[in-house]
Amino acid sequence: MEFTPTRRSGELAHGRRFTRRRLVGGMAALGAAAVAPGSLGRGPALAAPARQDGPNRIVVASGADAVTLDPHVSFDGQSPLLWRASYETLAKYKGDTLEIAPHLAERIDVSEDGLTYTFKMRPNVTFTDGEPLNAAAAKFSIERQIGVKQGIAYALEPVASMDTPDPMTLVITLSSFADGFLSVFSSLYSPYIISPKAIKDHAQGDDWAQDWLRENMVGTGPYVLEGYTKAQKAAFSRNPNYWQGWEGAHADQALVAYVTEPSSERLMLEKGQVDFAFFLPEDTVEGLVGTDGITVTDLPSFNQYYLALPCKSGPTADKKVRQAISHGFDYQSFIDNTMGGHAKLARGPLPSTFVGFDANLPQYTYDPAKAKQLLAEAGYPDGGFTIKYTYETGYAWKRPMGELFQANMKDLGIGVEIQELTPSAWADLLSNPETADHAYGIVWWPSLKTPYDYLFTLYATAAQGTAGYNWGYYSNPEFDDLIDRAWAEPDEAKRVALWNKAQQILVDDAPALFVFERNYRTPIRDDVEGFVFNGFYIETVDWYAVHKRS
Amino acid sequence: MAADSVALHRATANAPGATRALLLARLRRNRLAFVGGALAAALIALAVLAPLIAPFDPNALAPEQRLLPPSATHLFGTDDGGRDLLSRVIYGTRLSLLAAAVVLALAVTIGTAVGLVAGYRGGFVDEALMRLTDMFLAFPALVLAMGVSAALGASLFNAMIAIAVVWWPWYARLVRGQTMQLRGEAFVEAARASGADDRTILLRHILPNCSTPIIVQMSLDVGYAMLTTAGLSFIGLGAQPPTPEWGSMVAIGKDFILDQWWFATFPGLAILIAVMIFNLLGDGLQEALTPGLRRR
Repeated sequence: MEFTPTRRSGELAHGRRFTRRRLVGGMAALGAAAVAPGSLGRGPALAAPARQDGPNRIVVASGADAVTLDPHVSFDGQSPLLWRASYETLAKYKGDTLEIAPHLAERIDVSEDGLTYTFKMRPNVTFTDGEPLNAAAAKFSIERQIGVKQGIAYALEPVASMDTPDPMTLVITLSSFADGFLSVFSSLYSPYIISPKAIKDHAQGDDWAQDWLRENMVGTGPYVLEGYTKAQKAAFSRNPNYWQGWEGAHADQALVAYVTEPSSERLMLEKGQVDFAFFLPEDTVEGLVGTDGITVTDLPSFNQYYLALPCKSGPTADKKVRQAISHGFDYQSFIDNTMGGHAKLARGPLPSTFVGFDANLPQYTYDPAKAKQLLAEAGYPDGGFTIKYTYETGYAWKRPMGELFQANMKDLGIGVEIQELTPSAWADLLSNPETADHAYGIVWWPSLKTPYDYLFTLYATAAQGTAGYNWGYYSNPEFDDLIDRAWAEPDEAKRVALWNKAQQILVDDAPALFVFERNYRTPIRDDVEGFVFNGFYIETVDWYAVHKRS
Repeated sequence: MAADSVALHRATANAPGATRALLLARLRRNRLAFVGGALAAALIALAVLAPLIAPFDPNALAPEQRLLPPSATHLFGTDDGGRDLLSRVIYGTRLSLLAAAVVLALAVTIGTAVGLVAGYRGGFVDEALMRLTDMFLAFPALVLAMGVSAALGASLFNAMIAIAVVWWPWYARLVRGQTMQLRGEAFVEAARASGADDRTILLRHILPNCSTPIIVQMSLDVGYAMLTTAGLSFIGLGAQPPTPEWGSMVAIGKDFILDQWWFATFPGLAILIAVMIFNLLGDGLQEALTPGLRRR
């Protein structure tokens, strides 16, 4: 199958992956910080008070460092915040909707059969190195995206050809229909348009200038990178030639501060040293609600949270046992207590806010009696087996989920062994079919506007191990066939029917507990204007739109 | 001749025993050691009697009672799973003491064995063993423990092994120094002359005479071993949730420190107090058992 995502799942949703590991060094650095203020990521530029007469400055605090400045090679959760300052995509989601609007392309036409995409490029757009934006430039960036074979490259596999009939027109032809293909050009992970000159000038062999673009940005975006100190801060200033112009209210400076401790990050927001606080745990966000000068947004997202079960071996290889377990988890308690009520019981594998959601899917609810009965039918009337649950450091919701799972399973006579691992050890353990026989918490949000994004990546046989995130090693050929057919089905009604059928199979097979979907809560300073939340762009901002109230 | 040497042998063998009364008397006179000892005994009693003292099951999840502030029902408040923090701190005493005991038992056994052999044999054996010891000492203790623990997989037991691995070289050095001093002593010569084999000499004559510094060192180390165990758990390389281990409780609690101060504070205080108690005891013992030190 050609659809092979390589994203570290959930890196974005709670991307504070290195917090605790860093803390060890942090303790040692604490002494040093007293002598050298700013050594902990609070550069002098960030020490400014909240209200100022100086430049209009937006500071975003992020929990963990960006991985790379190159927008084509990573699927991590932290880097897009920087990419979006200097790079732009051909299309964009409109406001908080799933509607795709042209951006660097001024018009996009999709043929009736969904196989031909025509991008009419916006005139008078230049890259920061003076190069003009045209169809050839866009084509070259897409070629680079395909060529580096990383990031979102997999989603461009259906591309059969790219042509530039005139200098400002790019025509992409697909070899077969692909559901949600246009969203490749509007999502957070996308073939951002990079200056073709920069790529050619700095390419070494056939590396597509990967070495150079890791540390340099040459795009069409509103801001240019001024300075970037790893794990401390990134500073951007205005691109004077930005094609949308600087009329109206916009920030003069865009800054990102990396703050590894949630408590410090929160304090910086409270003091007004930063305007946005990203990657905060739910409880820390809760503590900010009602704080003077801070607004906490509460808006629907596309995040879906699962508790995946080992489907390949052990008692949970039996779908009856998995169904029993699905009835044995106290979803409401988790939602009401750990999530503070800011979540909703999931119905099937897709969030209700997303395309392809089926409101008629059966929903597992907490019913210990039924769970016991199902266990008895499966031959485990008193439980009597143990499941391993593993989670990685830095995800605030995964430990409480494991603890509640442990307590609930105890009532069914099933033991649960909990183990915390570092993110890399966790991924190594689960992506290796030899070592993986664990239950684990996982969150997914889409990179493409199609159910295939969730269903394939998390549950297809071809997405097992390192090929995707099917780390429960669930395999059902009927399901695989259905989602492949649905993805390539041009007729919408037929496609929906196929998606629904696939989801029904998934719910019946219960490879995971479909735990919750939730609203996203972003703490923001009150004097920030222009922020619009879209579940596709979580933990990033539209830098051109956000600014301080003057 | 033969009879004389046997008598001499007995007398020296009993030497530690003969001074025991003297030591105890000295100990009793040392207030520091006495207070430390009493508090340590209290801590041990708390650990042993935990099920009787703790008001709640330390692992009973009650999510609807999460993050309650300290009250009459929950003296230390509750954690993010609604578990009673007082009970968890009390049970944590058990784990911390157990960890310290296991760590020290392993470290002392390995360290003493290495030290005795190196000090007694000397020469190449000594060189080889001491260079090995130096290798271990060359790493910062916590960093090495982190590495070992990460390699073995995070669990409380593996953390204990990891700490023992970094701890034994200190004992090896200590015992080697003592052994080198003692092996030339008259009573050792006498024992050898009377036909005692190396094993007997090491275990019955030299080891008992090393015991005082070992005991002092151990009492000082209990606190550090507890601290290191908590440290490993704090960074996620030790006890796994929901085990009521102090270090991991502080680690989880620190994210709540701005709103729920009690969550990290009480387990943190427990670590502080326990480590202080054993430092007190260790200092007291050192003062009481090492007459030279008092003259300073």
